Amino acid sequence: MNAEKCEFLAANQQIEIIPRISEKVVHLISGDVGPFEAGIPTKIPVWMALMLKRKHHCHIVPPGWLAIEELKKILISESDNLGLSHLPDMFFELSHMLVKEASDNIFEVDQVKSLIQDIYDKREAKLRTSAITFLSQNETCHAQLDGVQPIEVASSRATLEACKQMAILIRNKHQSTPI
Amino acid sequence: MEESTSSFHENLEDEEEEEFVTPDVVMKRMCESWQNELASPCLLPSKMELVEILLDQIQGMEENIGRQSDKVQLRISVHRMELQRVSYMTSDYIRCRLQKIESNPRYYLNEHNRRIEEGQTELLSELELKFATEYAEAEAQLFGKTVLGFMPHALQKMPVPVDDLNVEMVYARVLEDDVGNVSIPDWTDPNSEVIIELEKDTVHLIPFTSIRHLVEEGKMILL
Repeated sequence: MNAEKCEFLAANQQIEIIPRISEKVVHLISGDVGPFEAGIPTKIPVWMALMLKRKHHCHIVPPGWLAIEELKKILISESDNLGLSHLPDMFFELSHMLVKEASDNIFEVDQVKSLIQDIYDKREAKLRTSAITFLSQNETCHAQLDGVQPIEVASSRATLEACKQMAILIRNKHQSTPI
Repeated sequence: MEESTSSFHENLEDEEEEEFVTPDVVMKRMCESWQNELASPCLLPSKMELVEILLDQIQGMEENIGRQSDKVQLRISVHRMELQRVSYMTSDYIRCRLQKIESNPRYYLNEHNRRIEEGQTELLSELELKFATEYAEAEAQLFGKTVLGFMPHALQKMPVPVDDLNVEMVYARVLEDDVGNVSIPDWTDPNSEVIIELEKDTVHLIPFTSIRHLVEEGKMILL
């Protein structure tokens, strides 16, 4: 799993749009979408929303959490909380796609961007510290990381190789007989 | 990839579907299987039946599009884009599996036979089995011509490297309630085990062998 594939999966999520066109129900393999009526909000998969957006056929309604006030709350809880706080599903993937492709539908997009970056940095720092703590012990081979986002797992995939080396070391230690 | 898709397709024409599931459920399962296969350190049991259903859908949809007279319609381009997304996912799934098979065909052939003997689900699909057998044979011939032929008789054996899955770790999320507990090796004492409780929606960094059965049953997903 890499960042592109995380984003691909995130594009299957549903998002609200306000269409500018009218269209009958579309029967997709992944389910029916529509009918569309200009001006009436409806929910469709993100990939389709972005596609319509590129053709100027719709206005994307950003999810409730993609607003300055909400993001500030998340940032504060991220600072107060020692562990990772719980974010909406596919938080970074969705916000990245929306900021990139639908920036004109997001209110004060620059501030939104910098808040998301702050949240990401805070979480990354926590993850890095916990990875270092985990890799510098030799008692347990289990760690719980609730609320971790797919993109964060993708970027900390290298830890797995380190864990493997550790497991090999531990096994060798158990197999060798003390003198 | 195009060629292999069409050859997979011919194969399913004569097979009837056992149970009726809606395409969107198939898509969801396919997404999960794809994600698991990408993140897993070894080959997981084949989910080729999902790929076949989706390929069937793709073909049906392509025929539908072909019948439309107005090619610039918005709905056509939406359908096209979905087709591309679905075929990307299925192709990448197959590609990922083939890469794993190519890395160690003999090991996976043995595993496949062992699973069948033990009455578990099959590791390789029919076509993958054929591919693995042919690949292993071609590899053996190459080895014979270049190296093994010049070795003393006693050493003329094909090496089968065995990946040690006991040291592999994965990230995984619990999908269901009441998954129960799993045991993981205790690093402080080689003779004991630690019990870990798996609650719904928790994410764990955990040895792969401890949760492998849960991933195969669809109770956990690899990240």
